[in-house]
Amino acid sequence: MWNTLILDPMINALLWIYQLFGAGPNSFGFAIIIFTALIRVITLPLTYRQQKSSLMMAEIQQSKKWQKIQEKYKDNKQKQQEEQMKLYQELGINPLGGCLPLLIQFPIIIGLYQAIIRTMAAAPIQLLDLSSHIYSIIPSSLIPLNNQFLGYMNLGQPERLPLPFIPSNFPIIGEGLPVLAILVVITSYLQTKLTTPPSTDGQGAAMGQMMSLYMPLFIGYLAYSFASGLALYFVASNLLGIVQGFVMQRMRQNPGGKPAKK
Amino acid sequence: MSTLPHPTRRSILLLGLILISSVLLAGCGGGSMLSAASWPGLSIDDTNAYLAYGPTVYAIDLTTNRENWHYPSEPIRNASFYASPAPYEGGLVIVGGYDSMVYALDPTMGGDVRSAWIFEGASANIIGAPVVAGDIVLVPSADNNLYALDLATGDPVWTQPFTTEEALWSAPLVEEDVIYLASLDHRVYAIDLPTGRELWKTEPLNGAIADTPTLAGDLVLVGTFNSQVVAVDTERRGAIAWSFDTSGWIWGSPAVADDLAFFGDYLGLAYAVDINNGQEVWRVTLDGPVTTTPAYKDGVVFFVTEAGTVYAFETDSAKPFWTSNPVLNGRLLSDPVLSGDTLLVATMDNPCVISAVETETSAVRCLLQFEE
Repeated sequence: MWNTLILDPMINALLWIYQLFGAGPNSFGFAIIIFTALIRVITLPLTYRQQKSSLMMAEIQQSKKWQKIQEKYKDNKQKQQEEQMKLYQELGINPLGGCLPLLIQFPIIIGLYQAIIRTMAAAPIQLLDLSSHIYSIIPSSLIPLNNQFLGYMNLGQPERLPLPFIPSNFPIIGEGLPVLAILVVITSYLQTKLTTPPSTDGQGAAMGQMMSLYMPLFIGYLAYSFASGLALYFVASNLLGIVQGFVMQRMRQNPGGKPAKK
Repeated sequence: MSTLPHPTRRSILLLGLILISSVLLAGCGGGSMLSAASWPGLSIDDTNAYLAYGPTVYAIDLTTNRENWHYPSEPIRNASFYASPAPYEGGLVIVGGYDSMVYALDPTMGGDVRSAWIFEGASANIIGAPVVAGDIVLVPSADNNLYALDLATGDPVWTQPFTTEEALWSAPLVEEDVIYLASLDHRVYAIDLPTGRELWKTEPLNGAIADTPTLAGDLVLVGTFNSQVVAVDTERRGAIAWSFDTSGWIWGSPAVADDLAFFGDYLGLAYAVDINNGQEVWRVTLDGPVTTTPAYKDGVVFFVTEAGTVYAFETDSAKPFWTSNPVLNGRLLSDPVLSGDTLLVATMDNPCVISAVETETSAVRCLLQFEE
C-alpha cells in the first residue's frame, strides 16, 4: 500500500526528472531540487493552512483578552483552558486547525525522503531493492544514476568540500568542509524562526526555543553523516520553506496591498 | 483531565511528530544504511570455505565443518566485508573491505590471523572480489578503478589504475595475459594484464553489468540490467556476436557447459541458450528472483533463488534432477559454489549462513551457524 501509493510513484517521478535533465553529471542533483520544489507546490495548500493557523493562534495569544484570561485564572489551569477554548469559539478558530495539515503532509515528507535515499542506491542491496520499485516505462539504462554534482560532490556519499590548505588529519574538517551540512543548519534555523510564531505561553515558548535550536543541529548532523543527496534535499526544502514563510508574513503584514492593521 | 488543546500540548505534539519522523527517516528510509550493504561473499580452496559477511571473514574447514580461523579477532571500526575472499595457494587470502581497504590475510603466522599488508589506495568500497593472477592481485573498486597490486607487498604494479566511467562491482576475469572487466558503466573492457593498458572496449550495452564476465571460447558473455545476455566477440575487439532478451534484469553471469549458457533473471525465469547463435533452448519459471550465476556439474545446472530455493535441472531437457527442491530459510543472493559433491550456498537472514547441499540427493546440512 505504502509502496504503491507513495513510494513507487515518487521514485519513478524522480527518475523521470533525472532522465529529463539528461541523466548525466548534475542531473540527479537538479532532479532532487525540482522534485522537492514540486512536492512543496503540491503540499502548498496544506502548508499554507498550517502556517495561517499557527499565525492566528500566535496573534490570539498576544491579544489583551487572552492575557487577561491568563492573568485572571493563573491559579486555576482548568478554568483558564475553558476560557481560552471559549475565546477560540468566539473568534471561530479551530485550535487543531494547524495539526491536520501537518499530519497529512507527514507521509509525503517521509515518502520523499525515502524515494531520494532509495534512488541513490550506492550498494548492491539498495540497488536490488530499487529495481523492484522501478516501473517498466523507466529505461533500465538509467541505472546506475550519475551521482556527481557541482564537480566535487557524490550525492551517494557525505559531502566534503576539499580544502587543500588544511592537513588531512585536521579534526572534523581535515576531510573537507561540510558545506551542505552547514547550510542545512543555517536554513533549518531560519525556517524554524520564520515559520514558528513566538509563543507567549511560558512552557510553549521554552519548548519552541528548544526546538528552534536543537532541530537544526539534529538535521545538520543527519546531513553531515548521510548521503549528500539527502543534505541537498534538506537545503532545497528549507530554502523553499523560507521563501514561503517570508511571502506569508508579507501577505499578513500587508493584505491586499493595504497598510497592516495595528 | 483536560481535553483542551493548550498551546503547550500543541508544541509537544509537534515535537513528538518531529521525533517520530526522525526515527522513521533514520530507520525506514535509511534502513539499508544500518543493515547489510551487500550479500555474503563465498569462495573455497582445497581446504576451506571462506565467507566474508559483515564485520568478519571466516575460514571453515570443508572436511570437519569447524572454523579454522576468522578475521579480525576484534571488530575493526568501520570495517566490513562482502566481496568473496580470494585464497592464494601461497597461503594468503586477499579480502576486499567495504571500508575501501584491501587486506592480505596470512593465516600461516600462528595466533590471531593478521594482515601481511593492507592496501589503502582505493577511495570507495570494494564490492567485487579481488582476483589473484600470478604475482598480481586485481582489485575492482566502487571508485571506478581496477587496481593491480603486487601479491607479496601490496604495492601498485601499474603506473596508474585502470579507470572506467562507473563503479566496479564484479571480479575481473583473467585469461592468460588479458583481463576482461565488466563495469556498471555498461561496457566490457579487455585490458593487458602486465601493463594495465586498454586493449579494447565494447560499445555501451544499454545496461549496467554487475557480475564477472564468462568466457566461452572466443566469446565473453555478460548479463545486463537492460534485461539481456550479450555475447561479445573477443576476436573482433568486443563486437557484439549476439544478444538474448530476458524478461527481467540479469544480476549474475551465465554459466556455460556443452555449448549452452545458463542464467536466471530478476523476474524468476531460468534460461538455457545456445552459445553459438543465442537461440533459446529452454526456459523454466522459478519461485523467486535469480541474482546469481548458476553452478554446473555433470549435466546438471543448479539455480538458487531469492526465495531460498535450490533448483537442479538436467541441462539438455530442463527436467528436474531432484524430486524435491530444498528450501532454505533465507534469501539466496550469493553465487553458489561447488565443492566436490556439495553445493555451498550462503544465506541471508538465516542463522545458518552457509548450507551444504548434496548434489546427488539434495540433502542439506549447515556448515556455518551464527548465534541467534
